[in-house]
Amino acid sequence: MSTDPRRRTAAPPPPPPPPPPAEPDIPIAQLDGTSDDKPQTSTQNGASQQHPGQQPEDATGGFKLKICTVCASNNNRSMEAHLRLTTPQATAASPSSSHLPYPTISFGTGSLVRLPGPSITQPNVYNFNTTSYEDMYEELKGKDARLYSHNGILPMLERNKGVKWGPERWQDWRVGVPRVGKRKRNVEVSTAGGGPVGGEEVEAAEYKNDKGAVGTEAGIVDIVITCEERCWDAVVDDLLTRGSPLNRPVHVFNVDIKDNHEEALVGGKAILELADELNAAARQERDVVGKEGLNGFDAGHAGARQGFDERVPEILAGWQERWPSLPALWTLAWF
Amino acid sequence: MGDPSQILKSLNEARNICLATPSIYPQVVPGVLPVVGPQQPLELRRWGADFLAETFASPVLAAEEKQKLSLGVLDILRRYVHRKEETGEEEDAAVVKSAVQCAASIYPLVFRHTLSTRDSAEVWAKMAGIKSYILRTMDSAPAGVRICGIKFIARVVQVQTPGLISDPRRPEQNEISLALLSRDHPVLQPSQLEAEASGLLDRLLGVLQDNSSDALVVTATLSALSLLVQRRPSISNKILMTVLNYNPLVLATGGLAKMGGKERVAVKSTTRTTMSFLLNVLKRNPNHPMAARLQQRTEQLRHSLTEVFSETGPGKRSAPDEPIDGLDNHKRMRTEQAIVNGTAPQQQQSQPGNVPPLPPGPVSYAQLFTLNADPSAAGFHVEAIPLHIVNQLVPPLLASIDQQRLTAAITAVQSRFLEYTKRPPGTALEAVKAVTGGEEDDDYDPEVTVGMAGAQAQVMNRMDLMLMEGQQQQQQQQDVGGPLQPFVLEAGPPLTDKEREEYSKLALTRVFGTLAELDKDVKTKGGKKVDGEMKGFNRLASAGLGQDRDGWVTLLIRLATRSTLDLANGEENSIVKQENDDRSLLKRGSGQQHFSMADGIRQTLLNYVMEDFRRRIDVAIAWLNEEWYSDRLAFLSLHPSKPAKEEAQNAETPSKPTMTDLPNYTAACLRTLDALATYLDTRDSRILIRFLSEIPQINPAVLDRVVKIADDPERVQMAAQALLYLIMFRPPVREAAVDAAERLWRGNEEARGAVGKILGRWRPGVLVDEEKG
Repeated sequence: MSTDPRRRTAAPPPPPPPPPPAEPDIPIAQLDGTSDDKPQTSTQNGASQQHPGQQPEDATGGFKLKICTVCASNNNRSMEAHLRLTTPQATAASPSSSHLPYPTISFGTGSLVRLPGPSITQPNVYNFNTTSYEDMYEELKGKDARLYSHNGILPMLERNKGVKWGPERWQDWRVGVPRVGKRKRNVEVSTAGGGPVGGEEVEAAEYKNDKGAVGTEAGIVDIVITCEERCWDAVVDDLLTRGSPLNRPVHVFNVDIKDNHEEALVGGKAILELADELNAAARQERDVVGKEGLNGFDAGHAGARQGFDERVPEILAGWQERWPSLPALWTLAWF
Repeated sequence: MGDPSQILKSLNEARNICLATPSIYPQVVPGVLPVVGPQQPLELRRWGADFLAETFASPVLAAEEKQKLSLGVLDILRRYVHRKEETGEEEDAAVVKSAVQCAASIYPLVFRHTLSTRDSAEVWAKMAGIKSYILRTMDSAPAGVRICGIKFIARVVQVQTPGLISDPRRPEQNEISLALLSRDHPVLQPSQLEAEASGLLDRLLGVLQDNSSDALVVTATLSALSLLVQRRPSISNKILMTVLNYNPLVLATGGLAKMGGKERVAVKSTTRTTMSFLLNVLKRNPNHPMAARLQQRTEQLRHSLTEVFSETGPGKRSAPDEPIDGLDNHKRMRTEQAIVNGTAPQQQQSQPGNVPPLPPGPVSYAQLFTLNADPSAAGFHVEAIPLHIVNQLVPPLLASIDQQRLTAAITAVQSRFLEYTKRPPGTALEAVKAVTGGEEDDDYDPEVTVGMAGAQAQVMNRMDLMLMEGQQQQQQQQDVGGPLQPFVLEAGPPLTDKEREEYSKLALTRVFGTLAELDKDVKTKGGKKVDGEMKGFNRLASAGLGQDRDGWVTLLIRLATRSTLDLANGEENSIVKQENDDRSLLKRGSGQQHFSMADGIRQTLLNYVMEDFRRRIDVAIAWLNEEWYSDRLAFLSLHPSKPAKEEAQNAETPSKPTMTDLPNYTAACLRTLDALATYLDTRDSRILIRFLSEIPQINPAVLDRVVKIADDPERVQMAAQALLYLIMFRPPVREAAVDAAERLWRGNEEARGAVGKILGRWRPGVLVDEEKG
């Protein structure tokens, strides 16, 4: 597990409680290698993780919603959430579904990546999709290591380096284009020939090195979570403009998080909780039939008769009550 | 087949290969179909439906390939959605959901296949079967399936409504729509398909028309409709109107309190999605014909949403956060020591050592010994207490004196006295104040203040001024809690001559501006007089005084003639007064140095008359009459003792004494006549005659001007007529006029004919003399 470097100075967390005596319902997945630290290189990303089946339920023994987090620069809030969602850890809320990483990707909706500079009028600006967190880290370290360590930028980039290769722009994301192999710059898809054409491959930028890559190979997600209303507006507007060629529904949430490190930590936690609840509902819908046969609808437990999609407003409302400081918003859109 | 998990594993491997190299989809898809068929276990069917939906949605697989593949998957799709009919089992919602997504993706492909190959009735029938089944069951299906059904409908409407043909020569490049379909297709009937699309669109819009509160369905519908607004101009207006009329705030009618968490999410979600929808349309086409309405509706929704989610609910504004100025306790904090902390003055004074300092300036013994700030105690006259009561009171009082407090009080007085003796010795000013102003300190005399703030204050001698300041200072110290004083605005600095001139000119421009406007009004109304308008002296008292042109003209004239009347009597011209005959001369002399308001008005008035003298001659006459009258008034006021004597003189020589005493009138009259004479035309004899007949007084200088008019051969007749008129109808000046006529006759050869007749009647002697001569 790549730890969040910003937490290194904090007091070490209390040791986890001793595992409960072996209960029959502990999923086996928790005991195998998937709950260990996520390997950062493809060689480490070995057999235990790299299941041939890309459907996450196959690999983990549980259905996982595919999630996309979005903020302005794809650096702080969305990356904190990305890390949270892909970090295996059990939470009290729903221990059965949270110990495995969610298939996650993340984006920014801004025109450029903007990081704080020496003054408010001198931000450090980078291009999306072509600049890696590593590049930014090295450049800022060279510029003024003390300043950027002090204001948390270097630790943030260090964390981001461990999550994925570099910031990606939402508007440039071509939904449905497989995220396999190496990242490419300036990719074009010809409508006639099929498949990505051209583009130069980016060295050491394989998609599968990203945290949460497993399950998102098809380039599609079930849920988008933005971290600012502006981003939500941008995402919804972008999806309307794209004209929904894929005919695939996607729930677009907003969780309003202030753009600073502290709030991002809180927001990341809240997003994980929301994802857990949504995932539990989606899984319930699938499990009803699986467990109780095809007529399970009639005998299904509470909420089973209602599908996952239908329960989303309710789940969000419940979540909002617990997180009143993070105003939420939601809509159903189409890819 | 083996263990489903093993199969799943190999299926996933196949999928991975496809994702990495999309070109092998055509081989993989037919291969997996039997493995995920309807008779297979649920996991495999789910995988299959997902895989098919993903395949036909994939942007990396070419449309041509998809179209070929689509024919092969129709059967399996049909059996996914028809499962209940075929096997009696309800199909898993996830499978149906993916199957409907897949159907939405292949519908346009199958349509294009059908219209390009004329013998594909069977294929189309399968697709139609799937479509009708989805349409039939979607409303009772789980929500996930239902929303995918909505998207499917939107796709069908898109296909079965004519779109734009961008290039007729290359049909494969065009978007798939009804426009591609030829009229005589054996399988597809364009009119039928279009009618079906129209019906389906109504079904979609029904959700919005009913103001549905199901946020999931509403947002799914709105998002799906967006594409139709973009791509299908023929139906975009209908959709937009429906969305504009949709009210997402139905749930919120009961106010915030009645909404549960789910309702709040729903209201916010539907409203924001509607706003995004409208803004998206606006953004894509800022010149949209309905742009104003889109903008307006968005703003409206934004306001409503804020209103609903403000705590007080709709219709009420929330209370201001801060208390209004004056109610805020912090702002009301008293600075006076007496009320600090809300304790009574006595309480504070009871604390030893807490003694108010002496006021600045001279101090009386009473002040020196008064340690109590309470004015009522200080003002109390002890002698008012009867002696026997004093006798009773004093012993217990003396006994009860607290030694400590007494000591403190003595110390306080001592320190006060010391402090006072160390002050700089009093100035003469203070001494004066102590004598003269001492008694007035407590009295408030508004007249003093007002008078001092007025103009006289500036000329007061210095000591008085300083005295006043001292008083004010003291009053400021005393006036907290005292009676309110009237606020006196300080007089501004006196105007310089230059400023006064500027302001005068400005005022002049403005009053004549008003007159010009009134003239315009008269013109537009056609100059009609109101029937009920008063005539004569009372006309100025009529309701329209100052509001109509006549009233305004009168006002101006009186401003010009009367404003200087009193000033002329003032001190500045006292010398002139005695030499009253030269008043005009002196005025003129001083007028060159300073701008005189009255002369300014006179000049402007003259200009005003000359701008259109034929019509405005009445103004000139009114003005000159006023000038004459005010000159008379001035004359009388200058010679107050004369009237009786004057009357006696007047009886003998009626016009003589006033002849030379009308400086303003004479000057104004001659100037007007000079100006007039320049412009008089041969046809204007009536105007000249009117002028001469109506001015109050005619002196020789006026007649000289008339004679001079006759210098112009064309105007001889006019001058002669004017003189004749004066001779006939104005007896007081008859002699003078006949003299003028004689001068004319003698001095002007050309006038002899016309004037001769006059002289022949009124002074035939002249003609006789001439003939003799």
